[in-house]
Amino acid sequence: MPRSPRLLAPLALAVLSVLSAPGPATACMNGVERRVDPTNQRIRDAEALLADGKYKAAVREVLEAFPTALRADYRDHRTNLFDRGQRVIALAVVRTKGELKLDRTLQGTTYAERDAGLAWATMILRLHRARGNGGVLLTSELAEALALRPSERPAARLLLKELADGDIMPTARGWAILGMLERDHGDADAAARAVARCKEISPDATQCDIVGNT
Amino acid sequence: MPPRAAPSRDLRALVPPLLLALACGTGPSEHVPKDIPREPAADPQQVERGRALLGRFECARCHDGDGLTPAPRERHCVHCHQSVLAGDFPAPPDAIAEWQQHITHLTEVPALRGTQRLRREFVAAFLRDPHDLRPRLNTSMPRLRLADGDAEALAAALVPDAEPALDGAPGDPDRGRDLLTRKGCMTCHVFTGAPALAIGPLDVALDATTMQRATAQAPDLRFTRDRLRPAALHAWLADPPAHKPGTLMPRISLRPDEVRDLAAYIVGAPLAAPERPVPPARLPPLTRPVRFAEVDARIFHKTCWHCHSDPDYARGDGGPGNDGGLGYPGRRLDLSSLAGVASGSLGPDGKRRSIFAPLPDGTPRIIAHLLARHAEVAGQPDPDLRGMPLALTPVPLEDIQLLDTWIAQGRPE
Repeated sequence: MPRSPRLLAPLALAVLSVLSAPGPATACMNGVERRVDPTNQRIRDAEALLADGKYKAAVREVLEAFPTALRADYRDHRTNLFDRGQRVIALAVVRTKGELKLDRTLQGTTYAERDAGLAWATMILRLHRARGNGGVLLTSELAEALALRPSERPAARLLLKELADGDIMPTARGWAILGMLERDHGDADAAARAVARCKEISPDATQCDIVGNT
Repeated sequence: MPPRAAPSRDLRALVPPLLLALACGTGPSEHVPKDIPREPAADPQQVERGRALLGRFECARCHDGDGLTPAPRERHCVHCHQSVLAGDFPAPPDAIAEWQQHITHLTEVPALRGTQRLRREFVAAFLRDPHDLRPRLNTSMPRLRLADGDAEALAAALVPDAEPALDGAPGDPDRGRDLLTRKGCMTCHVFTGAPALAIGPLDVALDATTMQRATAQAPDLRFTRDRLRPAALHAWLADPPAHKPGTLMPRISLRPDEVRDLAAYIVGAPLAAPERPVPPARLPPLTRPVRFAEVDARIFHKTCWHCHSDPDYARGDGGPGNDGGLGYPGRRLDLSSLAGVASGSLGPDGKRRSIFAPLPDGTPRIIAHLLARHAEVAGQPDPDLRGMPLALTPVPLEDIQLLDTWIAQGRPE
């Protein structure tokens, strides 16, 4: 690293130009981006690991792409991918019910740490939703996080019910969670319909049975 | 019995034209050339409005042309594809090799240069109701979301000047017909509805690549009489590159009288009424199980996601069908994943709605859009339903059947 201040400015400019200049396929849709942008592929890999239940590996992948992903007050210049990465971490925490170790303060070993982890994850998902990101999928993910907190379950149910009524529930998991919430709400018929819809969509019917285990 | 009197000279004089009139055409003649008033200069306000619309409708994402700010490669559908096919797109070689196998559309699009030769009225009508002007090009002009007056304004911007008068004596259509064959015009052009013409060797040597490109872009001569200004047609036939730099139409050696003859036949040939194909009917659902992976491979990933992408994985641009573009508002429809497909799109009221929601006749919305594209290609566009994929070859009926089956089976993963 040059010590002379006179050399720092052009070097900084050069670095900035590399970081900020649009790549050759800035907006050439997904087919190109996934092949020319390694960060793109890394976040996709993280999402695939999350979907496979490999939560630690998913979080590791995100943190290697974006080491600052645990910070709620920071956004990388690659905001879209950064946000997707944060959501992967948040969902990994939700799906492990806070048991995932994130850092020194969020180790997931005590009740307080698990609760803090879930609070962090819920905050991240709320923040993203408030920004208008993620659309329907993010709504269902937020509902999944809210469903873990007794005081937030009515809100979770309403979010998912709106998606269900419009036939725009993005995942089978969303139907399963709605089934659980409807059951807790006392509407057995609605719960049965939601679980049936989950089983209709998902080849892995055990995913729909999380209703009974939560 | 007294001998019959010979027919009078006046009556005999009528026989040749009468025979000619009876001999022309093999069926109902669609068009009789008529005197069309010359177009005056366009209203300057219309021209200005049209120029703004050229930007709003992002014509430069496909077309190059005079007065159009070129779109950068990452937003230029045709340049992007051409770059991949040429092998100079900045991507790993294995990616390039893979993409080259799949690119079939948007490799050739006519440039909007030399548009002064067009009739403004035709341009406006074409924008309102695009039809298959270039039968050998698998991409067509999309149906744009035009408001009242937009088509006229765009036409004014593309053809702002007054139409010049056509001087000189009319040509001989019979000699013109013969020239179409002798000069090899039918090597590239079709002339739908005209009496059959032999394909002669092209008068000019073209390499194979240029020949292929020229054939793809050559318009159906059926439309020339409505499409080109008469004086411009003559000038064009005499020297196409002088009027549209970069045109694939070669300069054919023609004397001035041959130009007139050729033009006379092109605009005056009797035309049989065009065939009106019947839009194909929806196939019944299959009886075997269909999963998302199959539907995704055959339809969504094959075609749809180029315009309906996930913006997060495309640096914020999910394509015209998601974030908006080509004059369309963002409908937020992401067809790049099952979750995206299931999440629906924004309706005109700004609220999310399912793409599987049935229309009044029970057809799922997405199926209706795919069938509407078949109807458009058959010349029967539905004014209330835009055919998808936009401007591209319709999704085969068997693939629509697959999607239909998947929907009927509950859209399993």
